[in-house]
Amino acid sequence: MTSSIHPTVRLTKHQRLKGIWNKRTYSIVKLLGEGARGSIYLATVGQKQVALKISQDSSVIAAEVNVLKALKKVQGMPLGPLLLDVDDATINHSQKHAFYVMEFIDGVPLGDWIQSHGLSWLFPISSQLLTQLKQLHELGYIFGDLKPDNILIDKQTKRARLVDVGGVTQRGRAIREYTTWFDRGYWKMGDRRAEPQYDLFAYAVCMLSMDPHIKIHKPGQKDIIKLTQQATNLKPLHSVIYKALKGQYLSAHDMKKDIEQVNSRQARVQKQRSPKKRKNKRTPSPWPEVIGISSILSIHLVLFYFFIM
Amino acid sequence: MKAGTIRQILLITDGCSNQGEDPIQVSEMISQKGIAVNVIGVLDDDQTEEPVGLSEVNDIAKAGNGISRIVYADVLSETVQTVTRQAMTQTIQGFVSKELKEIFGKETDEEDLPPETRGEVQRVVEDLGESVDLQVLILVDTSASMQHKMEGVKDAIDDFILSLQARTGNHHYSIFQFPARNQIVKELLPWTNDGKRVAKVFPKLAAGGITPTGAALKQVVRSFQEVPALEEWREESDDIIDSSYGSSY
Repeated sequence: MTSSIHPTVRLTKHQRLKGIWNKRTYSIVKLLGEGARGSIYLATVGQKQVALKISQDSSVIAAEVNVLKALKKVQGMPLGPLLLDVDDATINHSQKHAFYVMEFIDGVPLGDWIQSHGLSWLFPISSQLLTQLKQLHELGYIFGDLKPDNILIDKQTKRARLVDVGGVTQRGRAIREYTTWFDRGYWKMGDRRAEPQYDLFAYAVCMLSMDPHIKIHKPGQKDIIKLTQQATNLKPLHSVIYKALKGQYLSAHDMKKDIEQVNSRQARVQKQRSPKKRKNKRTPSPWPEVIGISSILSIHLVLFYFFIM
Repeated sequence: MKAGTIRQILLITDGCSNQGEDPIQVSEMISQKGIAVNVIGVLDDDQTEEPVGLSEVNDIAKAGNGISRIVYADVLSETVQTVTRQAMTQTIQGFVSKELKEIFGKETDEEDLPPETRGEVQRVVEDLGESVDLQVLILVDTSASMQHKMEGVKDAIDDFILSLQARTGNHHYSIFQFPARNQIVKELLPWTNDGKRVAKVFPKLAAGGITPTGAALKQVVRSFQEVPALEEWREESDDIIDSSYGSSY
């Protein structure tokens, strides 16, 4: 038995991986990400781009494949990436490693997307995500490691997708994997047992972290409720965030309804405000004209004065 | 498959032992009793590379059939989590693969199975990991150099208990410190499953000078015989762990 295995398997560009069981050959393009449990590469099979996860620890692969298979059973909207292949490959003529292949989601992480497209995108994204979480929960699973980096906005469809199923846990069990800042246990707001409220807490922290005033990655802050007050850009969503942090939403659907309500209220307020805004815009606008006219007049007067002199 | 009991020692230290028995030898003896020895080496914030003596950390864990990590104090919480879980999974996998060999013949390893079957095996391993009873003895090095890391150690143990409580299976933990005044090890908290008791224990920690790691390990292992009995796991215990446990040390 090895005492401290490191999960990373290094693969280089153009390296070919041939599956021992299913005989498909994958060509590595580049490294997409590296975690505590393995590495994800962009690869091609024929003309198709795929994401390939490989780990020294074959139980990591087996566990995630089990989850992806369970999620596959849901019809309609995909929960997590689609599983395409599971196999072993001999790397560099020596070691055999387990890997799995899934659909490649060409997306932008939540944080980057909000930064370049604006906070208002939180509304459609939240609706999509909470719908997916609701389905996942109904299936008997909790996502677990919900954080902005695991939420990708697909560049093509502009829809939110959940990636990295390493934390997905059967309801009622201990959360398999989590990230400190999004874990309600860390904030002393609850335990680590897998239940819908666990994900909704984490999603509330995801929303919070989108406010430029908030730095959640700061050790020493212990009170998430106090921290929420500093998220001034998210003021309309505060009531929803508080409720989620306190575990008062029993389902993702309830949280989604509340967020949608805030959104429509916002839209109404803006509609009511907008005619006023136009008025406001008009009122100052005549002034430059007056100033212009008067300045021209005064110049003329000055010139006239000179002529007379 | 019935769930049994998994026993682990978690040693949190920041340096090499300098007195008494060879901790690597002691660790190997402990592992033969079916108790895994996991070791976490804690680095100082200003340490840029692993100090020479800390390599002992890996050797102790290897001899003890456990997992080791060398980390900075600020990631201690996550590490305690991971190490315990991985060690537990490793023990269960060892047990499951032994069973597999009995079913499929000598040469069968989990890796030789087709991916489909491996998924099934993984499911069994996970089910056991969730439901098995867990006994963790936490042994904290409180020598002088560890003093300023104690706050981090306390937080990490607090956090660890939170994770233990989320499991379906029973758990017991106890906390020991070494060295202590006039003795090698001192029991800070007897076996319990009450998470609230950690906080009361830690102010008592006082640091001493020597680091008798081997002797400390040797002493604490006896206390596994004092774990309060729960009817369920008395009856079906020692499924996973070898039956030599219970014989006197």
